[in-house]
Order: sequence, then C-alpha cells, then structure tokens
Amino acid sequence: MPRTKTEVIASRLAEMTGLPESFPDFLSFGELYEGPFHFAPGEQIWGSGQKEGYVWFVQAGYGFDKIDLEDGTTMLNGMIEPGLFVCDEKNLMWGSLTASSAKMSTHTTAYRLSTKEWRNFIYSHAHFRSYLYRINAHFLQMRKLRLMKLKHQDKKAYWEETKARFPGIELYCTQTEIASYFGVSKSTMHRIMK
Amino acid sequence: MTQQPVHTSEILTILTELLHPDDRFLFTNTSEQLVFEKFSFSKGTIHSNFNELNNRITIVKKGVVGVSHRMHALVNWSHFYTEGDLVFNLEIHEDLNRMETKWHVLEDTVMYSIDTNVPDAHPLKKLMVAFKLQRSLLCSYQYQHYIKEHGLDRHEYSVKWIREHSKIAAALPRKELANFLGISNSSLKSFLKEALADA
Repeated sequence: MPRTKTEVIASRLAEMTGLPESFPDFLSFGELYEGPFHFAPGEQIWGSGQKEGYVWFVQAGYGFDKIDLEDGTTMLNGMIEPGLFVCDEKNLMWGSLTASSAKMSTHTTAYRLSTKEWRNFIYSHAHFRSYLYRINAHFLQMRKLRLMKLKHQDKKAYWEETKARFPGIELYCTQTEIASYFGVSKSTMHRIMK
Repeated sequence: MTQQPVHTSEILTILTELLHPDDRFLFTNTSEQLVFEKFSFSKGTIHSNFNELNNRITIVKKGVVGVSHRMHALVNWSHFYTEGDLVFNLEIHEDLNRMETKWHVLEDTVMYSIDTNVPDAHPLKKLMVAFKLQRSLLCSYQYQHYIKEHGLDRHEYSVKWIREHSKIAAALPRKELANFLGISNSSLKSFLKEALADA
C-alpha cells in the first residue's frame, strides 16, 4: 500500500534516530513538507544564487550536489540518494543566496520544506531539536573523515571506494568535477581513473 | 575559569553574525545580560576532550589552538583556531571522537564562553536556543569549509595561507605543514620562499 508523504518522512527519521515513526514530532514535521516534486534526469532540485531555500527530502532518485568555491569554480560535494535530507547550508544558516546546486541524474521524487518553516519548527519542538543536534554531531564526524580521506588517503584506493559508493559517478559527473572531489588536478584524476 | 563581563564590540559582532538574520532582534538590548566565562589554556597542553565547554558558545580572544586527527602515522592538522574564531568542542567530544581528534595549544590561549543551557523561564531562553541551533549547524559546516579549501588551487591557497599565518607555519614541522596544505615537501619549499619573499 503506498505510504503518505508524512509516513515516508517519519519513517526515515525513525530510522535515523531509533525512535518509533509514530513519534508525534516526526509526524508533524513530515506533515509540513510540500510535494511530491518530480525531477527528470539532468534537472536541478536547486541552483546556485537562489534566494528561496528549502530543506529537501529525497524519496527516490540519485544525483550530485556541488558547492561554489571562492575562486569561481565548483566542487563536487557528494551524492544525493534516497532517504537524504539535503539543503544549501549557507542559505539555511544565514538566509544567504544559495552557494551550491543539486542536479539529479535519475528520475527523482522529493518533498520540500522552506528553511523559514524548518527553523520555526525546530524552535518550537525541543525534543526534535535535541535529536537534530545528535544527528548533526554524527554528521560532523563523517565530515572529519571525509576531510582526512581527501587529504591523506591513497587516491587510487579512495577512487575505488568512491566508485563503489556512488555507482555510475563517471557517467554523471565530468572528470573535472570528480577531480575536485579528490582535490587533485584533472590530469592526475585521469591517471587515477585509468 | 573566572566569570566576568566581556562586552567587547568584536565579540558581540561575532555573536550577532552567528545568528540567522531573522533572529538577530533577539540580541538587541540583551547583550548586557550575557555572562561570559574566561578559559585559559597554557602553551604546549593537549586536550582530547574538554567537557567544560559542552553546550557553550566559545570564542578565541587570543592565542592559537591547532586541531589534529589520527589517520595513518602522521599528525594530521585540519585547522587552527585563532583570535575571533568560534570554537567547537564537539569535534573532540569523547563519545564521538573516533579519529582521536585533539586540540594542541600552540600559544597561550584565552577563550570567552557563554552557557547556552538556561532554564525555560530565563529571559534569554529564545536567544540561547537560536545560538545552540546555529552552533550545531555551524560545526559541521565549518568542516565543509575545510573540505572546500582543498578544491582551491594549491599553489595560490598555500602561499596565501602561509602569508596570513606565518607564525603558525613557522611553528609546525615542515612535513606536517606540507601535509596540512596538501602539497609535497618540494612544493612547500618553493611556496615558503614565495610567501616569505616580501615578509
């Protein structure tokens, strides 16, 4: 039986936190989301330089998000996959214009909540807030690991690991974008990928 | 640790800018009510956790603290806190610290800190909730920033960093500095020469 938007989002939050999906805050949070929104391969969920920001929940579909760098180039950030909550963090934190973009590579179904409504919900739900802090704390550890891998892991081994984690990455991203994910030049990346 | 009011304009500006613009009104006319605590760290000390800073917003007033992680045998520096930086002790939280992240106090350091854990009836409750949320989001966003720095041209970035942090660069062993910047030892040699040419 198809599940409602609210059930799908509450179920994912339950999976992330270990709490039951009937936890009232999860249901009220899921209820706030708009959608579904459908994206075809090659379409952006959001682009860089946009004022309106949303916290997206991806129910189905794969893609990649890229972040803008100070020198005007972009850097591949990571894969967007089913079950992910994803947003432009700068926009979420300070309401700035988005400094990233997210392009989907396959047919995608997603839901969205405006960052303003997201913030209002977090402020008015203390329990939900405490679970968010825990999730963010684990997210911080993942980013620490990503930073260390970027700096120190053997690039060939990291490429093999990345290919396994993001199947088809070389079909959907240019070699320049992949090189940016590994912090190497395009020519070095070409050698690694051979 | 001592308690004292430290309403310097620099610190208040940092706190204001930490908040989402929609929440900055919460800070209007309330800064005098903030209680700052002062934490001092002696040069040469190393901390693998610092629970006294849990649930706090902390700013470096002076000094330098380097942050290292364990991966392979080498000390891997990821960033250095200097004057005006917000400090996130979540990175060395004992329950989560699987990469043996440590704070290395490279210069005598002073931090000012405010406790965001206040009772529900406290007049600054809403402000503290706003601070807490931003801190939670910002600590992982900061690591995203360190990741982003590795997407920049290594030559340009390294020369700029060495120029702006010449004291830290001088304090680190060459191998660790090259490792931090993500460059080879031979590149470091030429970048150091270039960066310090006009110094």
